[in-house]
Amino acid sequence: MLADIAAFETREQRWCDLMHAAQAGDSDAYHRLLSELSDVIERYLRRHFGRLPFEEDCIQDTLMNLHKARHTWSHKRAFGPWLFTIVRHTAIDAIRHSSRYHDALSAYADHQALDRIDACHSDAPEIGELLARLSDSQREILTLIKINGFTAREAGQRLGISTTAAKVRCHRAIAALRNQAATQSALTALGETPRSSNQDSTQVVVT
Amino acid sequence: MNAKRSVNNSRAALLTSLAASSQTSAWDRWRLNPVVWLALAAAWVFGVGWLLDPIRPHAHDQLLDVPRYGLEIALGALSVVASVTLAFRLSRPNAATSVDIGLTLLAISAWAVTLAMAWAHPPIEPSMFGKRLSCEWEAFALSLPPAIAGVLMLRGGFVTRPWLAGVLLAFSAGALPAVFMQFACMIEPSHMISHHLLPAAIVTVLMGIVGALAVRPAANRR
Repeated sequence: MLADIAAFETREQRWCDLMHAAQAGDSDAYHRLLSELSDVIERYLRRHFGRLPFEEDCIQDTLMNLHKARHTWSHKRAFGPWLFTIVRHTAIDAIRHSSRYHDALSAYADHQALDRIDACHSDAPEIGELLARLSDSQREILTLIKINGFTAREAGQRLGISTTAAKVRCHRAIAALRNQAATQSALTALGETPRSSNQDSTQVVVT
Repeated sequence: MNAKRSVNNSRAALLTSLAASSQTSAWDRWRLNPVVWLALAAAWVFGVGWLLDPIRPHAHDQLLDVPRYGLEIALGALSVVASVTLAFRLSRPNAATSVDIGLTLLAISAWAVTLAMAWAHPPIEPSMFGKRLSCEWEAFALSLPPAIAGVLMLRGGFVTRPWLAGVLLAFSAGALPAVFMQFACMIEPSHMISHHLLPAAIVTVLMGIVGALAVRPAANRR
């Protein structure tokens, strides 16, 4: 127990000395400190948060935050609590950011009309065939956002329209695609040939 | 194996690039010093306030002659000092303690009590003597630059409790002109509430929200 306390105090003192030297401009001391801390951070994250899928990103984010906040440490204060406050905040921030990212992904998946159409209409024609029946502007926006993965803003910039217009156009293209698939399924069941999109009364007018 | 080596390489590259700029500048240290903010904010509020309109005659004498009035102004100043000190402490990880927070809340509460007493039983006979032309707008105008400067200064730190830091900073920026107006403008309870304290409350709420969002470490990073 006493040995542990002594080891902790030695480590704390070493970190304080290295940080003090680093703040005075000693790059070698700073490199030594950050190298040592990167292992400490890794162990801390594994012990408190388990194996995060974005562990390395989190470690590097923490190192960058430590670097940005290095002037906030004063030699009058303990180093360990300062360090682990930054580590904990960065890790929690990364986890929150990651969960928001996954929420967004699942919301995106919910709206993935392409997947739904594919799953619900097993007898529907191929996606490529459905896309070919859309108007040029609808096909263009769907390809950019849903296939190439551009954001609505980026797609809007490429097409020379506003972000809102891009979102609306994409939404309407998905609706048109869904209508096409439903019509196609119904006609297939009746044994009729589908009309082209320009003659289809269910076609949504695209802005 | 290759992925692991690539991860280690990227971390090593990051460490090398970070180590290249280890030295901290004097400005980095000064910008997180509450004394700097207090000096600049007090010089701004008292200097510009004095230039805009003269201070109520005999206000200095009343500070000493009327103990309740002197106490009210002193507690107002103490609240500003305590809250801005805590706000800047919050910009250093693990620097603020619950005792700091408790003492700050105590100072603010004590000031609130003296203001409530001044509203119910004014320490000085209410009169229009020393009325300023538009003290409510002065209070707004005088509080905004210190609030903005404080937010910019706090952004240089690593604020772990942004809402508390933002609100405390905004409170300090709003309360400083309120204390000055209590000293320099006419004494009258309803005038105190509507023209001196209301602008401070509005600045505290609005700049508190802006400050909290602006000083988050994540806001600095992204």
